[in-house]
This record gives sequence, structure tokens and C-alpha cells, in this order.
Amino acid sequence: MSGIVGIGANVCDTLMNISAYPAEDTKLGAQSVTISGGGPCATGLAAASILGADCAYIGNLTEDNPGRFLKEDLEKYGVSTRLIRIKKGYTSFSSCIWLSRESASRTCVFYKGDVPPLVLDDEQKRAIEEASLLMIDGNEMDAAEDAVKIAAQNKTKVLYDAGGLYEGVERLLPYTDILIPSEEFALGHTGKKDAKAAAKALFERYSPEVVVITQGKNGGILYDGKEIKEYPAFEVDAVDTNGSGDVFHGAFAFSVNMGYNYYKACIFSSAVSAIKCTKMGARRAVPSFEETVEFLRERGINEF
Amino acid sequence: MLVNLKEILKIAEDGGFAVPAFNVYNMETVMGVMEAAEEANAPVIIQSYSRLFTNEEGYFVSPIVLAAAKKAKTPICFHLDHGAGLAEVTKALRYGASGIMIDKSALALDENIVETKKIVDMCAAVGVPVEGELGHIGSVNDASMGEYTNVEEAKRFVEETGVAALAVLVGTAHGRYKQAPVLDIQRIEDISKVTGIPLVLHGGSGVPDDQIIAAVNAGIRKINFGTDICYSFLDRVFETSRDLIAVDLFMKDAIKNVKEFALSKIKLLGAENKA
Repeated sequence: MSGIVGIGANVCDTLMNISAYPAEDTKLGAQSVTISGGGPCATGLAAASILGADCAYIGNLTEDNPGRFLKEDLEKYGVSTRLIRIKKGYTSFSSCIWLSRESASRTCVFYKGDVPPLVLDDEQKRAIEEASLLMIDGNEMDAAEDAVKIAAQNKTKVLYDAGGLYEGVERLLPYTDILIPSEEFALGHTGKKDAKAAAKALFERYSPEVVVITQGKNGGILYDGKEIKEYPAFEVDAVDTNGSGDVFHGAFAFSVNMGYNYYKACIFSSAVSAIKCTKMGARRAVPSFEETVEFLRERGINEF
Repeated sequence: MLVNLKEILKIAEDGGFAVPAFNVYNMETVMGVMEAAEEANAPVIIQSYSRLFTNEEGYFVSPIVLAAAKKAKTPICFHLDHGAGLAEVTKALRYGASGIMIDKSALALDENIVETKKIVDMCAAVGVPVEGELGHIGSVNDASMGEYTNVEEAKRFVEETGVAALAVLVGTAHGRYKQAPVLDIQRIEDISKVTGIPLVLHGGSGVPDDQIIAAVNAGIRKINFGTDICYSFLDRVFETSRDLIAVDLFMKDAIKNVKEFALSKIKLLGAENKA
């Protein structure tokens, strides 16, 4: 039985570090290249797994090079791949990301691939029934909709990483227990002008247990129907913020599994995300549970 | 099979009858209603009161209803009765309800419209139709009955909220009547005509049969039986010998009584052989 299962994006990212953004129709040598697994849900699962949770990814992959890489990458971080179904003869979801040193910009070109959409089989459904928490990110919408209904009827908590305003998110929101939207999503979906009002509006519209709005280096807020609380972002020398939001969600899922209350989960996840930013890579830079506890102790937070 | 509220009311609309909605509280009441539906080859609505979703009974009762509904040969809708607010509505959705009632009838018309529409919009995104209420249907113990549902207000309520069904106040109340109520049949007809959607009669327990039939002919498509199904269960429980210790055996007669009660209402509403 898996503690945490997830359905959502799993993308093969090729990250190129370049000195400056090139002019069109020119050639440019990169300083370094890294191939890594990305996608909110899969990266979140990797983070939760590194921290110590039992995790499994539910999804379709294909057998091309990026597809094989994605499966091996999850295995590398301890995420179970037993619920992945390999579909032959398709092209994986992949992206090329240019990171310009001069402008600190991040330019992404992606191809969504043509792997068939996920349709849950009996083993995958059973895993959702038995899990303690289901992570979704708004991708694989039809399967996610089936999954949240199964989760709801079996008291599997649903954590929704609402990063993008995808079409049809309303189909998932009423089934969400832990709603963690980006500020952009929260404001865009509610039409409110500030995050606190948006958190309350989302809570009053969908009745989750908690709404946590992440605000990057400014920390974020949580609302549980009683009061708005702010949680901090920890100051670090950031070298790579790519995937820090995904890692926050994974750390949050881990925290819920540990039985932390939601405010404590925010503090812990914020620390995990901050430490991640001090190293290159999304998944490979996720700290261990012990490193995170030490990081918090150094800052006078001793409750973990 | 499990169907949603709109689908089951469409069957009633097409057939010119009303679907009985029975409140259930435990496995035995579900079994009694399901056995009646099966025997009468009738569509029925199985509903649970909002309190069961405020508390945790809903979590345990819902899988019983869903398992029975999915295997049933006749159309079954699993409905939230008198949803008190968003918390109960989302819980009912999460536990698998295929129909939702939101009851904001104690509010003034404008507020009732705003609050009901919020629920209709949320439920529409997940494909679950909603029943609203206009004209607060109180209890038989209330000192006086509220004002009956206004026809023009009903028209506006339905247009602005998009509800799939409307519960109206036309002379009934919840509970067991001290004297038989007199329904305003003309009002039912008028509301049915201007709204064009199925109407719901709450407080169906104890309404004389001839008035029930007249109400159905006037446009009522769902009639709730909450109080009398409780009596059908409890009366037999209290009569059952205390020498019966095994609870399943103790419950057999109570289930039978619920079934007989449900069968009588299915027949009264013209739902027999309409699956």
C-alpha cells in the first residue's frame, strides 16, 4: 500500500544554461546541460519520497528515450513505478528550458507529446482507495476527476496543486481537501484583488479543509475557515528556483502524512523548498528529512 | 442503476407520475426501499438528511446506498435532503450523491437566489443537478405556516438559479400532522406552468391519498417521505421480541415493514412498472 499516490504531469526537461538569450537565427553554445524530470505532480512525489514517504506515480509513459528516463528518474528517488502503464509507439512530454545568466530569464519550449490519456485500471483505482493522500495538479483531467471521486468516497485526502488555470478545474475543486493554489491561480479563479480575500473565497466556494496560497519568496498564507495565517519563506542564497513550488507541494503531502497540523506543514514545506533552491535541479536538490530538521533548528524552530 | 436527479425526474415527467423519495438512515432502511423498488420495478430516490453529512453517518451510509444503486435493475438517485450549507453539500458530493438539495428557503428571496445559485454552479461543474426550495416548509410543530410559494417569485427563482427541481410550500409540513393538511392544488399547477421544471412536495407523510394524486396531476414529480419511513421502521422494532438477540434476525421484520411502506407509496404515486 502506498501512502501517497499522484496523477499529473511528468515531463522530461532539458535545461541549458546560457550566457545570454540568443538572437533569432544564430547559434549559441551553452555552458552546461542537465536533463531532469519535471512536472508538478511527479516532482512533488519525488520530494515526498526523498523525505521519507511511500509514494507511487499513476500515469501513462511511453518507451522512447525521455519516457524511459522519466521512469528511471522516479525509481532513482524511490517513487514506486508499479502503477505506471507503458504505451508503445508514442512520443513523451518533453521540454527545452533556456536559463539565461544575463537576464536571469527562463524560456521554456515544450511538446506535450501524444501519449494516450490515462484511464484508471482496477489496480490503480485500488491504490487510490488504499492511499492516505492523492496528489493532483490539473493535468490528466479525466483520470484526475475519476480519481478524486474515488478518493473522496474512501477518505483518501486530495491535495490539489493548482498552479495553472486549466480548463475544467471546477471539476476537481469540490473534491479537494487541501487546496494549494499559486497566487496567480487564486486571484484569477476568484477575481479577487488580494491573496487573503482569494483564500477566503476559495474556501467558501469549495469547502476544503485548508487553502494555502504560495507566494514564492514572500512565503504564503493559509486559511482553514477560522483565521488567516502567514507563513514565512526562509532566506537562502538561491541558485535554482526551478521546481521549488512542486517541491513545496510534495513536502506538504509528506507533512500531512506525518500528522503535522497545516500551519506546521507550511513551515516545514517552506524550509524544504528553500533548501532545494540552494542547489541545482528540482528533484536532486530536495533535502532529506534530517537536513530539513537541522535547517529549521539553526533558525530557532525546534518543534520538528 | 445509479442516475442523477435530472434523469430520474425526466422519467417521472415523461410518465406523468411522481418519484417517491425515501429518507434512509441505515442499512436496513436502504434494504427495505431497494427491495420495494425491485419488486415494483420502480424508479426511486434514496435520500439522506443533511445532518447525516454534518456528522459522520453519511460516510458510512453512502457506500451502502451506492452499492445498492449501482446493482439495481431500476433507476435510483442518491440525493442530499435539505442540504444546510456548503459543508454538507461538498461532503455529499464527495461521498457520491447524484442529486443535491440546497435549502436556503429561510432567507429572503434575493439571498436565497444568490446562495442557491452558488451551489448550482459548483454542482453543475461536476454534473450533479440541484433541487432548491422557495417558501419555507416548516414543521407541523410550528405555530403557523409560512407564506405559500409565490408563483411569480418561483418563476424568477428558477430562471436565475438554474435549479433542476423546486420544492414548494403549498400546504404541507414536516412531521406527523395533527389533522390532515389541505393542499393548494391550483398553486401547484400555476407554478408548474410558469417554471416548466419538476416540482417537489416535502412533508408527504400523512397527506391524504386523494390530495397526493391531485398534486401529482398538477405537476409534482418528487414526493418526500421522511417521517413515515421512520415510523415504519421504528414501530416494528419496538414490537419485535427482545428474545431475538442476533441483530440481523431482529431487523428482518423492520426491513419488511419499510419495504411494505415504500411499496404502498410507489403505487400511490404511479411509479410502479415505470423503470
